Amino acid sequence: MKTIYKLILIAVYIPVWIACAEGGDTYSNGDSVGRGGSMARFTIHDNYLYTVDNSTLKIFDVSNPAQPEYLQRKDQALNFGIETIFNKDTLLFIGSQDGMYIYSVVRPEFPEKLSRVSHIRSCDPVVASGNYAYVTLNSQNTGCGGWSNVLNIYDISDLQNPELKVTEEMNYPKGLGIDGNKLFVCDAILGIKVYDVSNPVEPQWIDDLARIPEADEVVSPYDVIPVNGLLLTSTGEGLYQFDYTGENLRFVSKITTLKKQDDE
Amino acid sequence: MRTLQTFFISFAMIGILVLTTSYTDSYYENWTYVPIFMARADLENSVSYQSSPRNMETPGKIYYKSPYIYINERYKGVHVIDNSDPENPVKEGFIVAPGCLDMAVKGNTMYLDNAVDLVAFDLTKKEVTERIKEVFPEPVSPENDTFYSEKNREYILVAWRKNN
Repeated sequence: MKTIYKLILIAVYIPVWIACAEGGDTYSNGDSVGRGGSMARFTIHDNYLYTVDNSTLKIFDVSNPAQPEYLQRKDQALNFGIETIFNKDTLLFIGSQDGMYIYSVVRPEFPEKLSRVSHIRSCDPVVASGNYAYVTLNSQNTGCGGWSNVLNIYDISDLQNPELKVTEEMNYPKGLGIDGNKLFVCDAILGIKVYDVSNPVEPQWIDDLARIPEADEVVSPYDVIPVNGLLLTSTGEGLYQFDYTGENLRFVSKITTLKKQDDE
Repeated sequence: MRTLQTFFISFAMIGILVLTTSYTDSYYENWTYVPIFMARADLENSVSYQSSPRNMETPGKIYYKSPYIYINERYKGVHVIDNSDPENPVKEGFIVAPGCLDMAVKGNTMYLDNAVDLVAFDLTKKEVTERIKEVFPEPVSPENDTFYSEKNREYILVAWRKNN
């Protein structure tokens, strides 16, 4: 009996594992869901699309993908200045101009606020992995009016009481992404900083784009998606891809922007 | 009689011209970005697919669903990039969607904001399967410094242009 159980488990898990490993996609109801960056304001979990705008968390039922249904009565009011939403398992991390919210979507139609940590006014995307959440605060964004450019790392093992553990100075940080022990942070001038976060409370800055001539022109990185060893990067200068399986980032390809003449 | 009519029409037209100009000048003078509007009826027919790829100008958010990378062209739509070979990504086409800043994909369907509307777009058939009107606030300006929310539902804010 036990063996059958194990076989069933293996039969179920292996295809899912392979599918995830291949595409980095998640699955719900047979439909695969893609992956967004940390600056996203849309995220799909299970059969629901969650969106955040200035002051509202909205829920759309997408169990029939072609016909989304807006569940208006499930709207949740948030503080003004919501910037980003990030989904990890049954958690939603919402970055706003005055803090980070953590919601549980165990009951997907009824997001439940678990906590909110506030910080000085700034713009902040957030990603999470294991027991830690990583947030960049960017003040040069004129609408935000803050004075801080940092990477904050929170211990979220107690979801109701996130604890600020690390504050690391940045130039002008934007999106960020994490895979395993590697944290990627978009930061102006240096492009992308790679941190070893094997020990999240002591992040080690191990690499950046300085050594990569093909990415020399990158001065305004915007967001990253690390997926199975490939770092997809959106920058003001175009789409760049890097391999992060080795010790250092390795350039893979780029599609650069072509500015219109009348833009400047 | 006709002269009088012509006179009045010309007068009215000059008046409108003066009013519009002065309104634009005084109202938006100190704005870094000036809003661009689209008629509601046009907005509802504005989402389409172009198989001829476009140049990237101001890339925004990024979304990955194997083997495709989707990159937002701010306020304009989404670049569709076939990334089967990451060494040679191929720009395959462009989803035209005025006012678009965000997207997410489930199965064959992309959800994107078409200014204040949410649109479901079938990536295989290249067509809109659903439009939910007036669910989002107007897209904010590039530097996040200007919000606009006038509830004129005939003309919808879809983009921002740098004020020269």
